[in-house]
Amino acid sequence: MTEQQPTINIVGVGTSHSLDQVGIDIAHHIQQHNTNLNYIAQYIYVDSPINQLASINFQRPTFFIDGLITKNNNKPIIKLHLSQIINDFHGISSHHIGLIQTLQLYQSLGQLTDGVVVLYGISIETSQPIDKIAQQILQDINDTVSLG
Amino acid sequence: MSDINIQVPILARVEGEGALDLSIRDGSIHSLKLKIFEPPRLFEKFLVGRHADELPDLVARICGICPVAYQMSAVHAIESLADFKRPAWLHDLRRLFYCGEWIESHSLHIHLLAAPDFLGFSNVIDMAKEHPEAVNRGLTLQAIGNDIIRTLGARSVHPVGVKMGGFHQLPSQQSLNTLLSSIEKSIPAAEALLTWCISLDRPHYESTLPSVSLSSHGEYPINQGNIISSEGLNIPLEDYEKHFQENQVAHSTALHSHLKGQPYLLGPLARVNLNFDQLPSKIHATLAQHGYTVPNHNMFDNMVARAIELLYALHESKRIIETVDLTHTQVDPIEFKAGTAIGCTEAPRGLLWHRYEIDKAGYIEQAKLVPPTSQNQAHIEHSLITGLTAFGLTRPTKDIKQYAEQMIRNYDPCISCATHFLKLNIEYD
Repeated sequence: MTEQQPTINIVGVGTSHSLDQVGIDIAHHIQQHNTNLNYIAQYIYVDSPINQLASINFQRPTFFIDGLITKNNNKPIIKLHLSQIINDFHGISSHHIGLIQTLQLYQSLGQLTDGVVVLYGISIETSQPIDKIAQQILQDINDTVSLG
Repeated sequence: MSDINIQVPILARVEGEGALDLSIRDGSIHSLKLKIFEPPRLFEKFLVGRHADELPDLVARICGICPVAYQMSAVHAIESLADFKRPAWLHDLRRLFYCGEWIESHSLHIHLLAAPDFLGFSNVIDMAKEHPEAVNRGLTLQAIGNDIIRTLGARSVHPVGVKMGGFHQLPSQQSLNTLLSSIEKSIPAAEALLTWCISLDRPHYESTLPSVSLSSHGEYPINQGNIISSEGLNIPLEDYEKHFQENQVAHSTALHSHLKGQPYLLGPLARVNLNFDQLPSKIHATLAQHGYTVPNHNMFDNMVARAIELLYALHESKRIIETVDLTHTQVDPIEFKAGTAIGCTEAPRGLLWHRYEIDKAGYIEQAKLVPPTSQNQAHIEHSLITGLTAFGLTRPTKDIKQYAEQMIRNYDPCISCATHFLKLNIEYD
């Protein structure tokens, strides 16, 4: 790693010890198995976006990984860019202010820059190993970072 | 005058799914039903057969906003049956844990759910563009509540740190010091929040139906106490079912509750009214500066009451961290015995009463959980009928809708999860 390498945020989203922990597990898998990257990765783990996103430096490219264990995994990875998150989702949350509502709120507060913000939505089955999906996501992150 | 039927088919995505049906005939309300058609969640049933040791983790899953309340009512019920005497350090740490939930929940409600109503915005995302400082203040305060929960509960969402007789792991002094620093810095923000809430232009609708809360000797009620009312009721937790009646209504899967045949109010406004003397003098002084007096029956001041309690919870958290003595924290294991276990604590929205029938090995034979939102249902309906009538039923439907939503949100019911949830179909005969 050198000073010239860009720094990015890889954010695992979810609650540990639950069906919602997939995002945490995948981010952790990437952190554990990939040390030789062309960028510096800051790994962040979030279980309550509304309370924790304030600590994220959005000047850096930021990649959220959020997932769920489910039987409906016809489309195991969905990739959304910030503009899609901001514009395409309305009123889908409830009392709990989730990741998407938090990003919309941060956009309104002017705290999101024009930089890269990507959300990977993952759905996998209980028995499905995460290493393959983790590598797919990492490859996409690599491609996105290399494209600048 | 033509009849008006206002049907709100879905109150979306909530811990309680609901709707509002309003029928106006000849200028008066013919019928009003806050319909809660939330599918039964069956927690009371599937707790049966589980061991009491599992309760804290199981009941925490009932609510994402107030899991601590469910945990505290459950463990205090079981511990009371076992004659477990909570040592001072445990009383204090659980109180701190609960303060975290009050801070988080109240901040969320004030800033993200209620404030847009009072400032004329449809949601907090629009409000944030014009009032970023207020929203940022709310996020900061909410995060402190979450930090407290995480410190004691291992995670902020559905915490797992509670066990019978204590916590699985106690916080380090370093983590408490970190919390203390954040809390001290946030108190001015909470004071500013209280002033801000009082300064907002608020409608006025008074309800003089009974208010009910816990009352705890020498402290503002959170985790223990007797049940009291504005009408002079003062009973131990065990007598709850002798005085409060639950009944099924056709339009709701949540039970309505009454006290001597009347709806009653739970939550921050009731607590502040009934326990004002237990607030510290510095909060009294702040409120006196603003001319705030009790009893305050304006239901739209529920938001102010939340701001009062949020400030109190920060002061109380600071006091606890500064004084709690964690040098001797060994406790004897809980010895389960057969019987009826009863616990009741003050969830952010009001009384959360639990009763469990336990066998001698500690297995649950029966469970009954009475949450504050269901207890407030009858009061909400009563307020809507009288409040909307006073508001004026000849006003434009959109204004009636907005006022009804705002009145419902005063209670911060779980069914207000979606900030603006009323979708109206209006039929004119």
